Amino acid sequence: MNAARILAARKGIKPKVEEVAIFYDTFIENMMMFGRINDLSLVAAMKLKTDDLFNDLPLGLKLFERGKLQPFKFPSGASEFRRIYERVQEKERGRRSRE
Amino acid sequence: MKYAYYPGCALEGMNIEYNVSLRNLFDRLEIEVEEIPGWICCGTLAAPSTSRLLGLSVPLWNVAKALEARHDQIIAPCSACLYHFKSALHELEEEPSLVSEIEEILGVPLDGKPKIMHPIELLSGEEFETIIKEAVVNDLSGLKVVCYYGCLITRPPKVMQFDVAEYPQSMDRILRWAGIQTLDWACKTECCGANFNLLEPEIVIDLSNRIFAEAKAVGAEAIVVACPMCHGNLDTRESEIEAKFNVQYDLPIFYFSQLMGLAVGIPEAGLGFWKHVVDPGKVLSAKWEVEDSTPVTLKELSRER
Repeated sequence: MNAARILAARKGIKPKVEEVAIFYDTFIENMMMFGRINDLSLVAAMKLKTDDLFNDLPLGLKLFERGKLQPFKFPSGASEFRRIYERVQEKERGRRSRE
Repeated sequence: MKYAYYPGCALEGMNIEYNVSLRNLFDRLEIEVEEIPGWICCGTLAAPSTSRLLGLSVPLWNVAKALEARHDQIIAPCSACLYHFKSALHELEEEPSLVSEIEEILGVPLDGKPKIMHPIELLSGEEFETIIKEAVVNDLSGLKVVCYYGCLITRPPKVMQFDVAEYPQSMDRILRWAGIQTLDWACKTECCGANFNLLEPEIVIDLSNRIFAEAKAVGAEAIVVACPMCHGNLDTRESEIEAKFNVQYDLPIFYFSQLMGLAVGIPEAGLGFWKHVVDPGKVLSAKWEVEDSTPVTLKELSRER
């Protein structure tokens, strides 16, 4: 399943629900920034990218009230994740150039 | 015996009450855990959907850090993290040539294969039967619940190697040891819609409706979960499900650690019930006198441990 997703993305084939691909990209960007996912910034970025700002607003406020969406999180492990990500990219570039 | 503990991102944020109640339960049962130093997100579905090597490297970085801290057993309470850890180790076993490639990426050795466990796997071990039964101080026998395991704790069975894949019993067992009635039902491992809560909530609403309907049909007063994503989906969408299908379920969603924590006498403030969207107060107060559940701040909640 993952292999099919990766190949489709490389060929520029979009998933039926386009938000899925946007979500994966946004998730990786969030890992780059924080190392651990920050829910509030992940949800906010998704809502901005998919132009869906108001649908879940009442629910978002309830979660915020309950302290479930924390406004800021100190980055923890972001540099480790970026280092791993870059090494993976290097390896994969090397593999593809050999193919 | 000290276990490595990998809370995962959800338990630091949206699902902090799972983390706090579980750590309190561990303390009460004298289970010693140590957070993996410098852990990072397991990458969940995003990393393996981006690249196979990334999907393996991120969970294995955390495994390497646990090994470095001399742990050979890791507890992962989030079923998605649990799956990605187990799946990465399984792939290495199936394809040993990957080990050196991953070590090169991580820059640290992967010396050993730790056992990765969901807390339910640990607590359902025979040795905990007496420990749990002896720790119970509150009688919760009047509360009828169904245990909802979700997709990943037991599946795929070749990777997860825990309990019966389609009809698991381990969560039922530990709740019964804590004196809570668990009912048989047909939706133990049905999908709640997973991460579609953010992408296509209608999928979650339709799939979760079946879970609520079945729980209500067998006479449950609450649904008990062991996965932060399942909790998020059921707890945040229940009112929309009721509106769409014109039904009234009134079913609070608990983590197993919250109810077990209540049974062994952990104060309510250390269990985080107030963080739920669906108010569990009605069900709990009907069963026994609840303490003052004045909301406390996140810092105070963490200090309750």
